[in-house]
Amino acid sequence: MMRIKNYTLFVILLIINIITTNAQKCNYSLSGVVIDSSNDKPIVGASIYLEGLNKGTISDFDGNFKIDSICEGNYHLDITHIGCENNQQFLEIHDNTKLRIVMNHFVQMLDGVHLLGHKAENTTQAAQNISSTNIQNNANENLSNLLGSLTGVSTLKNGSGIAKPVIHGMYGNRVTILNNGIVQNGQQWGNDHSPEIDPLIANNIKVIKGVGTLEYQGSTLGAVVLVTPKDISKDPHLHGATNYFFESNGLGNGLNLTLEKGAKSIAWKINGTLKKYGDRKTANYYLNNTGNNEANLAVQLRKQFSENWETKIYASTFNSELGVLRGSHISNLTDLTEALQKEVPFFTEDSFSYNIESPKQEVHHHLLKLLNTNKISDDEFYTFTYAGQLNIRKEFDIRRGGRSDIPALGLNQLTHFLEVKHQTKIGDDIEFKKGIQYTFTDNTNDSETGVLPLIPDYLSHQVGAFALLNKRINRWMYEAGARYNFTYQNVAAISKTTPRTIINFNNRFHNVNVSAGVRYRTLKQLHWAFNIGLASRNPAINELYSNGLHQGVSGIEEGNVNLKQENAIKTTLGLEGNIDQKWFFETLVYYQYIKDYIYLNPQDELRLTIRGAFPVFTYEQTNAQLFGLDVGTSYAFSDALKMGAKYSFLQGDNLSENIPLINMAANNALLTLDYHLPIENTFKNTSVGMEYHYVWKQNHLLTNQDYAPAPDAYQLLGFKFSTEKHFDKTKLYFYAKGNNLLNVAYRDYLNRLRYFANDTGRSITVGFRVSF
Amino acid sequence: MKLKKIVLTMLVGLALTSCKKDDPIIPNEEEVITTVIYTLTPEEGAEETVVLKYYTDGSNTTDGIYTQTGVVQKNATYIGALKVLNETTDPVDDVTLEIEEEAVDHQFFYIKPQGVNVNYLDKDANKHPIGLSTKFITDNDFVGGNLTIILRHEPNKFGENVSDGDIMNAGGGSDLEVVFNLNDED
Repeated sequence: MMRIKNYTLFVILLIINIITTNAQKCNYSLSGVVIDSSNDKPIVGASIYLEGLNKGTISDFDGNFKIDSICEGNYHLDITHIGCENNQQFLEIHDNTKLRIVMNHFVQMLDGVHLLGHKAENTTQAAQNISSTNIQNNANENLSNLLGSLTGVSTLKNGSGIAKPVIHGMYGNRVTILNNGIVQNGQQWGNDHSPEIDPLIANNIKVIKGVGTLEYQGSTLGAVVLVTPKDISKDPHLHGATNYFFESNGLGNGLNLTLEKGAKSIAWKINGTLKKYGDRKTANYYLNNTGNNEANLAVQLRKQFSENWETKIYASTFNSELGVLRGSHISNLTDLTEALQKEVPFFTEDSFSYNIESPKQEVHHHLLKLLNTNKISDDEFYTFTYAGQLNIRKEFDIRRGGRSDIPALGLNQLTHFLEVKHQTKIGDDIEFKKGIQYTFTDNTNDSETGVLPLIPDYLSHQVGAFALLNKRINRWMYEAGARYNFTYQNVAAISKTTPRTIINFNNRFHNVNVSAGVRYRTLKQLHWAFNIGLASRNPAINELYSNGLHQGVSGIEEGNVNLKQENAIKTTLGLEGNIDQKWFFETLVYYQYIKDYIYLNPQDELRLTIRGAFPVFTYEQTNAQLFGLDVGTSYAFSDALKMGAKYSFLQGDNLSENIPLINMAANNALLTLDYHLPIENTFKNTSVGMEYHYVWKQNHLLTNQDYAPAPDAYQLLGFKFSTEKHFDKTKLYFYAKGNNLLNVAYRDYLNRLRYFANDTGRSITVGFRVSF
Repeated sequence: MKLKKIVLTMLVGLALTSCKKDDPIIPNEEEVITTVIYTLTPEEGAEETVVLKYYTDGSNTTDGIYTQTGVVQKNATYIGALKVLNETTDPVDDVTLEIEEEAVDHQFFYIKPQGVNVNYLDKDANKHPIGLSTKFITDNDFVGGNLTIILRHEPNKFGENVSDGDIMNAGGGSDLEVVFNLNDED
């Protein structure tokens, strides 16, 4: 019965629909102006196209356009212009409609070097962005490698699959990563742990520094990485995209699928990724057991309950299996010395394989987030957030007695996060943001590992509050912020000595961070910015209680229960501007002093155990300084041809002992050349580019500070190509790129694998994307 | 208002339920090796059995203790037998059995002082030595010195000279590495 009724209803609706369609008015017009986001000037010659109607026009000398005789209805509008990111909009036409379309430049600048006034930013220290186009065209890269393309950001690696970002020399506990606004609660302590985030789910990846970071709970000595998925579009039709890539090195395959519908009742979006890689290859030999598999899924929902109340739900799951080069799994110092002398690592075979065996890592990360926004007025709103995270990490070593299938490290971390934020305006020009946050963390080890846990079981409660202010007066912009954080940790550790007993620790820490910044515009095209911040960070669990043999680094790591908080002061001075919209430049100078800087210090004596001699690393404190310089510039010879250059310098010193700090990125430079092919009529946004990367040798290091001397300087050559073809409703994207084109055999200072093997050799990636 | 109540309830709920972490289960460290015993039984030229022993508490925080009973003689032949134990468990775990079971993935190497020769007496399924059973021979040059015993896990037993006891091309990871100072008077 129901079915017949529904069917009848459907037919009736259909008839009504036909009638109304016939009665539609078709004399509406669509007009407007196209503006360049970088200088607010009109864009001449932008193409405006109404999908479905096959109607289009070109903007005139003043950026104006007009399309007549449009029927009432819903349309997709497509705006394109050479050198700009495509702009797509959904329109409901009931009347004559006027639009102001703002276009963003595409490859005007290198990633991370931003445009002046690009999206009127409310910070004194501009954020560095990786655009969605760039994420899509580098679908084969993991999050850390993507971030590595930004000036001042490098990656700490353990092979090609395991990488974590280093920003201005800070990493691990000192760099906070936010996945969709939530602090990623994974195993940040290990240098061999990568962030459990799929960059393909993100639409925008941003690195923020300075005052803005105080908004987020977590350490604020370093920068904050924001990984943000794109909001579900308001478009009520079903849209989607699929992205496939193949990478020659590692015979990697990846597939990403997105579907979304901005229905008025409930808007939804689904995004899934599958990746499979086999053994990577250096210039001359395979890196056996370096494959990885990944399967991720994210679901977004949005419901607008009323004009002022909106709820969003985000659920994601990240699952990966990562192989670790077999030849890098070293048992003691003698073995390490032996391995260091080998040109080609032990266990190297002549054949490629997708198999992943021990040593390996298995990581699962699940996130559920609920966000409520209550709007009081246009300038004032509250947000309420809850997020739950479950992080499961298992690490498998080569073990005796068939135990290789039992993880040697098994950690389960559960966190709950609650946040209330309020944003308002005081007077006309002061923006005021404040909020409170609470995080509960529960970390538990698998007991069946048969190995004493490296990190103890613990739980922690963290309560924080922050307030941020910013004010604009003419050419000046001021910004200030403060955060207070209270942390309570309850640790149940197992004694280092035998017989094993349980030792409990209760810690309470108060942290205060303050920061201020000022930005001054001398000319329309020139900005100065100065930032200063004070921050304290309490010792993390691993720094206090690490205990045992870390197979991955062949050393005994010992925490230190006597560690105090570390205190830091950081200042930055930046200058950015452009001349005639042709020559862009940006420089940033920074200096950071850290009192009681916590670091893992190799001890002088070796510990003799039954398994041989082991170096002992103990967490210690010293006074340290880091300073550096980032420079970026680009020059546009024409709308089509652009050249760019970047340079980063960094030095870290242990002031108490007057020696260099280890694990600081080597100085490096990048040169790029991009050419836009003038074939806009057939293919859109077609560009070819070359990239030249030079990395100096890390010379700021004493010979006895490391097992092996820092690797020599190296240079890499790369190319990229991308193009788009637009059909009526579907768009086709194609991209290709090559890394290490000359197949150079090199080793990178920040890749731990450098002790054992060369870095990856030549690799070609091709990918295509279809969107509708 | 409703929202605030929910937040408050959740906060109080979380804070009350968990201020103390439950005691972890102490893992059964069955893979640990605490003790190595190398017993030299005289075959020719000596009367006294020599027992070399190294033991630790298995914690990795303190150095182990070396002991020797009996004196290794010049110009003598012994049958050497290795025993590897985990004494942290009750009953004591005989790791030697595990090594025998995975003989193809294990090999003991003996780095000898002057005047000592060690020959393998046992073989795995691939006819490669294991090193649990050995012939220990001294000549006239023997005056004592360091005997290092290394157990390699997943070595390349097919490597050049590896079957003859040369560790150079063996690779693999060390499960055990102990140094006995033979006939040390101190």
